[in-house]
Amino acid sequence: MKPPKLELDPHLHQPARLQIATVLANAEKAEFARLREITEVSDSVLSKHLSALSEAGYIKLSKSPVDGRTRTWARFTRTGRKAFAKHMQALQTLVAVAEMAVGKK
Amino acid sequence: MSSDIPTPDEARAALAQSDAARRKMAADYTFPPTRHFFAGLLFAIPPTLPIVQEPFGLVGGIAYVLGAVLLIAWDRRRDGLSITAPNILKPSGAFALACGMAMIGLIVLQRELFHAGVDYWLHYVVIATAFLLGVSGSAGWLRLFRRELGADN
Repeated sequence: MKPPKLELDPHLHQPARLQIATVLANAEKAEFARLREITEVSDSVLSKHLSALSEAGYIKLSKSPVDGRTRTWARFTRTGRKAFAKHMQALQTLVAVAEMAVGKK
Repeated sequence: MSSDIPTPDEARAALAQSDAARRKMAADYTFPPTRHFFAGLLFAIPPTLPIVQEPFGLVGGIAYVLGAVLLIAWDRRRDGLSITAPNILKPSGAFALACGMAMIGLIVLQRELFHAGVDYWLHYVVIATAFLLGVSGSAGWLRLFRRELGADN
């Protein structure tokens, strides 16, 4: 049997980025503070991840003023959404293949 | 696109992290009771429109649109998340459809009652029913959305 082709995305491999992508896959937009709470990383680390995802064309960042403060919002681009779906599928395939191999032994 | 292939254990850990992020998102995504009340008020507007005269119909229509915009803005500001149509309908397409159909039914019923010239209290019953539909719709959708994301309750 031909082994399944695994396309793991280097931009999403990092745990915090995968968590950011998970949130954005389930919501249209997420605010910086909310993403920080979920990923449990520092402001600077989150900024770096968001910048990296933005440079890869996976997310779009926008700013909007609320209560006199500027808030940053992140949203998936179409490319990002597709890449996340492929990445998750590859991870699930990898786990499924490993479990099948264990079952055959 | 491809990177070094992780081991199955690493892949399992990555999936667990993704799942944990979803659960955390669900656990923190809640509505205050006032939000359900506000949704009820919003739902009560459309069945009111067939029984009022102009310009109150127009005023009611504008109030409905403004109220919906405010509700969305309030949700975004409170939760730091913007949930839009695809994700609103994903966990609860049938539920949202049922709420929409019930609302249309109440508007049609209200119009029919108005043309039939029934007692006024019957109109209030329809409006109160729409209010309850809004409250239960808001609470029901939240429960379904959180369950879809993997919340424990």
